Amino acid sequence: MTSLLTDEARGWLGAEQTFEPWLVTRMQIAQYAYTLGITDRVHLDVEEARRAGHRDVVAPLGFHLVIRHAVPNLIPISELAEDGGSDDMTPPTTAQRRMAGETSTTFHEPIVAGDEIRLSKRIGSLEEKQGRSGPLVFVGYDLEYRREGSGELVIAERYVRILR
Amino acid sequence: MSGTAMTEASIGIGDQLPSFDVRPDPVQLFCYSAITWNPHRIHYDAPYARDVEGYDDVLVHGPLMGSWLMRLCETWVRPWGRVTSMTYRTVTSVHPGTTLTVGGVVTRGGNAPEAEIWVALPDGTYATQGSVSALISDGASGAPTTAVNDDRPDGGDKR
Repeated sequence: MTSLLTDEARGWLGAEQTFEPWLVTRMQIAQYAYTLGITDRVHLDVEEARRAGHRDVVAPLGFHLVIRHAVPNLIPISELAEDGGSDDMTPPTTAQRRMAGETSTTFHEPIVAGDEIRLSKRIGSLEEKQGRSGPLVFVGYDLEYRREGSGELVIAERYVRILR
Repeated sequence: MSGTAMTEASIGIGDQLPSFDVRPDPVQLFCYSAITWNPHRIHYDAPYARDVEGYDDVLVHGPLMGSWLMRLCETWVRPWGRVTSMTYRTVTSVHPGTTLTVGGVVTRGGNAPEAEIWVALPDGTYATQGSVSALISDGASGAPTTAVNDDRPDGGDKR
């Protein structure tokens, strides 16, 4: 059986990365809402949001994906791979492709414009399985989104990336 | 602003979530790549997607399908509570121009309802599937009876 995982790659289990806080703006929330076809005014109009009891414009459920995907790509364009992607804590393997596996998200608090959200990532699992077309590596990332200042956990997420 | 025609109803097993159709096109994929600052070529560079990666066309972002599911769930819970957790995974890659149905069905009622959710292809098979757990807010009602918004979100998807 061939293996994609080297001993070096196995050493990535437990690796952690914490990113600089991400300032959530009204404009990002509006861009996300319009891209998704979301028209509820609490995402677009600060007065409407305050009438509904929020501090400011509230982000639609799912907005955290903006933070999750954007922060690893905040690097010089010259450092992006040929396919436009970034390493984003992917253990070194001989795999040619990476695909998204299962995502599990727990929502504790809404994200509101003005929040600074700090994302941290940890490789919580790393395993290889034999698939029909050869070996597959499952990298499990544990993500935490915390509000800067209070340190409150806003969202916890587990995301699996499949390498083959 | 959409009207909020509320009707008293209970959240019962087998109830449908407020489903909607989307037909992603290159403009929407561009906007999603831009807002998520995703420079990955397979979402905008068709010759690259075909010649290097071997796909028929550019791909709809897997996370965009997750985003639609979260839009569905938020619309479902808005009148009475909140989403506590969600799990989903993408099963098939999808190309722009495909009409997708984002929907779900309640699998558990009571104060902490649950539902199966999906993004379905025209033939009814799932591109993405998962589940959601929600919680009825204190004061929303004496559950399981609660207010359900029967407005359909139509968003900007009918291009």
